[in-house]
Amino acid sequence: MLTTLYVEARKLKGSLVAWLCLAAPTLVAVLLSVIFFRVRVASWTDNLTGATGLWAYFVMPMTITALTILVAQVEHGPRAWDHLLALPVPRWRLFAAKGIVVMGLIALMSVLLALEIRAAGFMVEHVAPKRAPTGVFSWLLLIKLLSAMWGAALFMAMIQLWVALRFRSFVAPLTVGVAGTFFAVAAFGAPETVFVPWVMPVSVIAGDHARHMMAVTLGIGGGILTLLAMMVSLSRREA
Amino acid sequence: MTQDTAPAVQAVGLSKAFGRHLAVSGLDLTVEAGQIYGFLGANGAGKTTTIRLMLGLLRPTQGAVRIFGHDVGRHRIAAARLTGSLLEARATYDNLTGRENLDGTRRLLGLPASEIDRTLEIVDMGAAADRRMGHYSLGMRQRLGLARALLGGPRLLVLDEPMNGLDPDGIRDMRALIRALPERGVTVFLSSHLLSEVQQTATHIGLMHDGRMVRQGPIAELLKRAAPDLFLRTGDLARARALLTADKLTAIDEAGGLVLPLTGGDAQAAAINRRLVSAGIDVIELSVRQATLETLYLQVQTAEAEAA
Repeated sequence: MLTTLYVEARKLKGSLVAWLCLAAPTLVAVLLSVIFFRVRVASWTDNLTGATGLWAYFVMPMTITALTILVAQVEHGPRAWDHLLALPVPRWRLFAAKGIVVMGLIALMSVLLALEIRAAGFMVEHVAPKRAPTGVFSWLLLIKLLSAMWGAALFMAMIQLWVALRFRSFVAPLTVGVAGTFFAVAAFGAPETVFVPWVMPVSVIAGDHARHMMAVTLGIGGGILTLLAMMVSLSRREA
Repeated sequence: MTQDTAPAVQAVGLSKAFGRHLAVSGLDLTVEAGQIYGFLGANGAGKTTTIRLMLGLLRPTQGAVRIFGHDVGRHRIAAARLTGSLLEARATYDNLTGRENLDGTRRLLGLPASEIDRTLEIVDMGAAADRRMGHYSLGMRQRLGLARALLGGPRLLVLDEPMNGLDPDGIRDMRALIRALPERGVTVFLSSHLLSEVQQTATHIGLMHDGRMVRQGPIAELLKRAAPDLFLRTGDLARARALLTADKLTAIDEAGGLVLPLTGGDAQAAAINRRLVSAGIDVIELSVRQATLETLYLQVQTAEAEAA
């Protein structure tokens, strides 16, 4: 399995995936920097919640949509499925590897985001100390928020990946991703929406501990179940 | 039947339906080890579907296909271990180098790193192996695809249109490569539209029409059994062609003349001669010769169309 994971990860070398993984968290960090300079001075706790909220609310779902499309297009683009699926390798393993690579890339982006948020803080503390956030920067809070968001996003990510792998055209996963994100933005306030995969990451910062736990549990559980269902379904499907 | 004595490919009553459309219908096909088997047929004849069934990419509606005795439907991985395939020349990752492309497959197959250089040497691609695939010509891609298919030393190589997009030099090299493969213990299953290439490369052929196998056997034997060709050179080729077409005879342009299957023997040749001369067309040359694969193909297609 490790070999398959390595091969899947290596296929992304020099592709747009690397740029996406860099650009998405950087966008949030840049927006945070703008907030430091343009909006009233707030505490680090508020800033961390705000920045990760922006990530979870909009940037993360759209990035996951783009990421899963790019990962799937690595095979769809050159029509490489026939070659891949004709190899003497259990097909479930190939799909499992793609799922795990996507999970890993989302985790990598979360780590990058954490580092870039801290870097934005350092910058404002040195360039304009009066605009710097008040209070103490808490790595623990940031890690807790981002790891919970990562877990809560897995359900959405695996649905997006399944759709992206299933359909050769990128239109289907893009439509699902945009519709899901739009729904999350529009209906986030309603308590029932915690069951909607695209709302789960932002539910982490709802302030309601039960909703937070529900989002993380459903996100991880739904993500794993969806990955398993995807592996079975795509492996049995005729290429 | 042991793996060593079993045919390289054996399809028995193989059928595949897509909805109501029967793409392959009761196909019986045998390719013995060591053959270069040319798999021919018009577009939509069922060649690609058959190949995909052989590789386990599709499941048969009826029947089975075995690779060296392994039922592809039941033991896909065991069959795939013995099979290499080149289906689509562009099925490579352009962001990676040729060597990296091979390395991915090599790792998935659990082979030593030395396999890459071995197969690169076979296809003479060592010098370009470290260039990104995005910069490869179609011919280079075909060669690299062949190297990838040869990783691990498969006993059966399935090639779908390997000459596609190659220039004359590339075709000549690919032909030489394929012809040398049986010496390495590789059976070749070659699907191509280039009939003259198949004639020069294959030892056996199978001809598909409308999902069915209509001719199969050693190429020399099939050509010997086929109606001979009539070669015609006339003073007015266009009129001669029009006249023959009006008589429902199909002629192929070749070397400044026309070639048509002589299904009616000497009497037909004489009749054609009379017809042309009475129409005021000078007949410069009229000769009978052994059929080529192209005219055999034409004969079979015409016979099948008439039967339908």
